[in-house]
Amino acid sequence: MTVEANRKLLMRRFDLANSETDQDILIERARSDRSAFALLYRMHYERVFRYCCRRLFNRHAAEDVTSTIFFRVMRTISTFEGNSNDFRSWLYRIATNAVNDHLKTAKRRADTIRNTAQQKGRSNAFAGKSDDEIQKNNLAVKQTILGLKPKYQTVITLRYFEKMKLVEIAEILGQNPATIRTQLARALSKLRKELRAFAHLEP
Amino acid sequence: MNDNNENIEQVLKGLTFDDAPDHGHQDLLEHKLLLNFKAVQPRHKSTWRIIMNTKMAKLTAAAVIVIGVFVGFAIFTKTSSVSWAQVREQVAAVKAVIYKAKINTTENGQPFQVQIEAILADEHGTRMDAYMGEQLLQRSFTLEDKKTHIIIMPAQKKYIEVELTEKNRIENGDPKLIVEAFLKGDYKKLGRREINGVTVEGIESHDVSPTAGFPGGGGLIEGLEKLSAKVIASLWVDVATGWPFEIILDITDENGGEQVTIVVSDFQWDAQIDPTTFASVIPEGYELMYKVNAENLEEGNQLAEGLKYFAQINDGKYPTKLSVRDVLGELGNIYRAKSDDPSFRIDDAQVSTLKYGAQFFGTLEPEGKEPVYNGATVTAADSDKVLVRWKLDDGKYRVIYGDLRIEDVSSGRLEEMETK
Repeated sequence: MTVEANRKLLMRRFDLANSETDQDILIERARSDRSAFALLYRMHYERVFRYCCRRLFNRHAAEDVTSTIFFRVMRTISTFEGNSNDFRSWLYRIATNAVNDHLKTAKRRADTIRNTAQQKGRSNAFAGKSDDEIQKNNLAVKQTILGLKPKYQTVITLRYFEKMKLVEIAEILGQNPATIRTQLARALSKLRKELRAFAHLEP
Repeated sequence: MNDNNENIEQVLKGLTFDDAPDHGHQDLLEHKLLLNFKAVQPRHKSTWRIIMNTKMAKLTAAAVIVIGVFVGFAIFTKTSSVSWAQVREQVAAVKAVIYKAKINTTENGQPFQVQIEAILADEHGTRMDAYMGEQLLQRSFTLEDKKTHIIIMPAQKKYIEVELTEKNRIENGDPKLIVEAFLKGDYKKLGRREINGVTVEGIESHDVSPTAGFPGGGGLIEGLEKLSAKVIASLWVDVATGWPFEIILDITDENGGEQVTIVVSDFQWDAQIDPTTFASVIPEGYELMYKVNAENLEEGNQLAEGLKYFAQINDGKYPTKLSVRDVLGELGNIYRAKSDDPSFRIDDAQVSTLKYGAQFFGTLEPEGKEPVYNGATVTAADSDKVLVRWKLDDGKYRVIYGDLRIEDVSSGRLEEMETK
């Protein structure tokens, strides 16, 4: 069996073997137990990394921010209050703040947008139908998302890429679901407007 | 939402991402995190790791060990008392025993309890499961046929394998030696009382070492032998059957500040052991964390191999100090310095090799083996300088040179080299 297959098997077994109660105990232990923290980290690394990729569209940046997130988790886990469900929200909240911090500086934001654009070049978002054109549309949409305010990026990512319900997003962001619904509507409206503008700029 | 938004939603849902994790980054980050991990006091529960990392921990670990000692005591004790002679005869014929133990102590004011379920069988070896609440913390085996001690760690899905030498087996696997030490001291008779409706008769001893009798090697728990603790031990035997019924140990650390109480009970003497209890020792999917060959440790090969790895990733320089803590700290600095190098990979096995080698080095001082480590001044280029040395039983010194050659030299030769 390959290392990769072993790793997947291990994680699958872990998922099957650990109830919420087990995870609650694990979180408790992770405050003071290096091995428990390591296990908690392994359980959540993939989720956090994928979230960062879906926010930043860049693997290297996602790795950097993932590192930042877990160091923050390690430093602040002693302050965490709650069960394993709360922990997931708490982790996303830290991740969201870390991504937004990363994007805060204008240069980083510009770099991220440029890097995304350079992956395959720019293109019209809606015009193409071939695989190549779909790929170009993909990049155009990502680039446009990166141009939105972080709070709009956040709700779009959590809703459509992380496939969360409004109440889950509200829990993570510490707002009520109605506010999230409004933010999401505004985010989509902004995105649609920007994509149209983007399409008009394309040759 | 309106149609336009639905279109946008379809576009968003159709996006794909390059988000497959790179396990190289995952592993590297894990190492960085763990090297910087600073434990904080848990609010409600303690852990096995805490147990093993603190002074009281070692007492507690010792307490676990004593369970084995006292089973040995129960099996092999010889006294002049008629009733105790009967106990001796009965227990001496036992081929297998199952028991449970509860270990109660406090850690920084927080009470906690570890439960042990143990099986000792002449034919197979020993198995001990340690629980906290319902959670299995650790399972260990000493396998007679394979001469191996295995520690399973469910939280990490990993295991440690320790090969036992004949010397270790004699020193650590034969409870008669421990019992003999016990019997050298005084004990007093406690008379009779009732436990759970059973009439029992007991004896009490203050002379049993809490570190003796570990069925995998006293040197395996760092510093255990350095402990000084007061032990009050009592053994209660069922008057009707002559079988040991309950063993109670009270262990107090040298300052009298903290206490461990162990109650061993639920004995099943001469139990029929299901052979599957000792089958499939390593659960499927568990990874080897590291393997320790006791002879390699004593010969210095394991330490030399670990130092070789360190020098390879550190421009030929060895760790400046050789304690486990210092070595891990220095490794952390190296990893941080190399975090921008995408080709750099942490070798878990080699890290464990070095860690265990350093742990072995730490056991030499209390044994009076005059260990010296010169990593702060000797590098891989100093082929004839003494990097590490310690005294052997025959009076010679084992030397690991800067180029990691290993040689046994006389005290005169060592002095000559060290005064150069």
